[in-house]
Amino acid sequence: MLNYLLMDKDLDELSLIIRLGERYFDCSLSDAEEELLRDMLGRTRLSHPAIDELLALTGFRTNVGLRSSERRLKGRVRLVSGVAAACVVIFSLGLYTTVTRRASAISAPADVTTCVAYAGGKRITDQEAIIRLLGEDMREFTRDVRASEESFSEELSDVARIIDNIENEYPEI
Amino acid sequence: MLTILVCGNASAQTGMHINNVLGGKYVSDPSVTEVIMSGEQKFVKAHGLSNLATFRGDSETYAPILQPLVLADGAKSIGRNVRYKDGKLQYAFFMLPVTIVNGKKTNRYLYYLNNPDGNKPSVMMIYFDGTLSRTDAEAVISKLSSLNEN
Repeated sequence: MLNYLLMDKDLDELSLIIRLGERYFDCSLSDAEEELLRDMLGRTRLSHPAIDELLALTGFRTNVGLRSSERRLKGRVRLVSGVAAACVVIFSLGLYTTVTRRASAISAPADVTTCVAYAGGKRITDQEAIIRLLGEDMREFTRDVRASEESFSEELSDVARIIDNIENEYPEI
Repeated sequence: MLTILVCGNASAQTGMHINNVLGGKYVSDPSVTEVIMSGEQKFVKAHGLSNLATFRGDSETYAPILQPLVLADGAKSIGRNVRYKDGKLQYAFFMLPVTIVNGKKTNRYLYYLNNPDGNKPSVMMIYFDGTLSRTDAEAVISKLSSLNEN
């Protein structure tokens, strides 16, 4: 009776392995079913040409210990892949923010209002203070531009004087 | 995904090199002043501008940083007035190629002045854009210079 039951159980197991194996090659197994097939192939004590074929073609290991270490490795790979993917997302978002921030420094869309200044290592958001600071900077700029232009004019005059002197050394005949 | 993110923003950025000094990068230095105004900002609109950015800092430190950026942006300019002194860029005015922003032709202007010999040696960069003409741009500089004048 016991032998009969074992045989019956073995037949069920073999039948299930073969059914799952056929669907494995049809690529119609769900992840859970594929995992079940792996488990069954790893644990089975049965010997059958169909099982040998499955083991040969699928590359599933028969050694349970090896398979569990493989599973752990696969788990680690998945974890590393997950972390890598998360890093890519975070980096991308960081890049996105940086690019947007840099872009908006000058080319903010018309519907985005920016009014900010920095002076003496401090951030200023008060509009009146910003305009005052802008006025001071622009005054200094125009004053320096004027000085630069005057200096440039003087240099040009110097050059003109030098040319005159050279021409005077060789008077026309 | 990176490509999508970067390209998605490329249209917003005018691709200007001077962006590298703006946005608060050097503001921890007390010698630096930076002003950024843009968008629906009343003051900016009142002067016919869409964006305005200024940067001023110590000449010795920031001229070597600003000069190559300004020259790189000015390389494609459609109008310019440039002066060098002792092999260094002293003054530059660039009218940059027109861009279309929200369907409007936008003129862009870039000024640079390095004054290493003054009482307070400084280098300054001014950028602004809008629908204003070159003549208007000159007027804006003088208007902004008279702000809060005592």
